[in-house]
Amino acid sequence: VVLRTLPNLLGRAPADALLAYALDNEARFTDTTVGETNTVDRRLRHSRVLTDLGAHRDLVERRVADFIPSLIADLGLTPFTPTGYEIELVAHEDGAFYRRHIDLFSGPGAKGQTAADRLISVVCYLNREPKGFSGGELRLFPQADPSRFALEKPIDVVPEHGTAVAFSSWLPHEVRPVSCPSGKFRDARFAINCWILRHRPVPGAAKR
Amino acid sequence: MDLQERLSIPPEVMARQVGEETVILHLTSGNYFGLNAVGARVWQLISQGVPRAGICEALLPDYDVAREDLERDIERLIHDLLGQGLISIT
Repeated sequence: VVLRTLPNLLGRAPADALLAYALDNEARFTDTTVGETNTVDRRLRHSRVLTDLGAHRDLVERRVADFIPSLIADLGLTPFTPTGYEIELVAHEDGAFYRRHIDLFSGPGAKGQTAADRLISVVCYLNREPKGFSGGELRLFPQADPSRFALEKPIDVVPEHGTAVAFSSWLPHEVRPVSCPSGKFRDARFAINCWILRHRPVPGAAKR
Repeated sequence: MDLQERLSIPPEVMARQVGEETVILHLTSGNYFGLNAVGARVWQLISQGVPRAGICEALLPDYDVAREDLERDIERLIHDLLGQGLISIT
C-alpha cells in the first residue's frame, strides 16, 4: 500500500500529554528548515519545530518500533534493519505549509556516526478538540519516482488528534496551507514526525 | 559465470513494490530504476537469497517461454543490475 494508517499509534493519554507538552514549550519552538544545509526558507516551509520531546521520546520510539515489521511488509519495502529514529514535533500555525518534498536524506550524521537515510516516515497528529484550524492536510503523491510529475490522484490525509500515518520516505508529499483564525499557538496543527533511519555503512567497511 | 553464486542487495539500495512492478532507489546516487512485472519477480528472488541458477528454475513454470530465452533475459537483467550497482555478487 502507499499509505498505512495507524489510528491509535500512541494511545489517547500519551497523545494528550504530548499536546500538553507542545503547548507548555511554545517558546522553545524554532523556525523549521529545509535541505541538507538546514536553511530557513519560508517560500518552501513555514512552520516551527521542537526536536526535544523530553521524556515522551522513548514512548514514541517504542510504539513506532512495534509497527516496523508490518510497515515494511505493507509498504512493500526491501526488508531492512533500522538503526535509529529522528523525531521532531512541528507546529503549523496560521498560514503555515510545507511545499512538495521528499524526506529521504537526513543529512550528515552526528559526530561519530555515518549519514543516515530516512526510509519510513511516520506522522502522528495532535490538536485540541474541537479543532482550531482548517486545512493542513497531508497530500501524498503516490508515484514511484519523485522526479516525475504525479499522474495518479494524490491522497489527502486530514489530521485528527492521536491518529498517525506511515509511508515510504521517498514518496513526494506536502502539507496544505493551514488556516487558524484565532492565531493562537494552542489552536495550531501539531504533528510528530518520526523517521525510521538506516545509517549508511562506514566507508571502507566490508560489504555484507 | 557461476550459476551457484548468490546475489545480494547492497545496503545503499532500497526497493519498493508498486503493484506488480518494483521501483529501485540507489540511495547514495539518488537514481531511480523501474522493473516490470517479470523483473520484479527476479528482484524478489534475489532479495530472498535464491542462487543465480535457481532464478530461472523458479520462473520457468510461470511463463510460456523457452528456457534459453528466459535464461538469456534473466542474465541480461542481472548484468544490468550489477552494472548499476543495484545488486552485488556475494
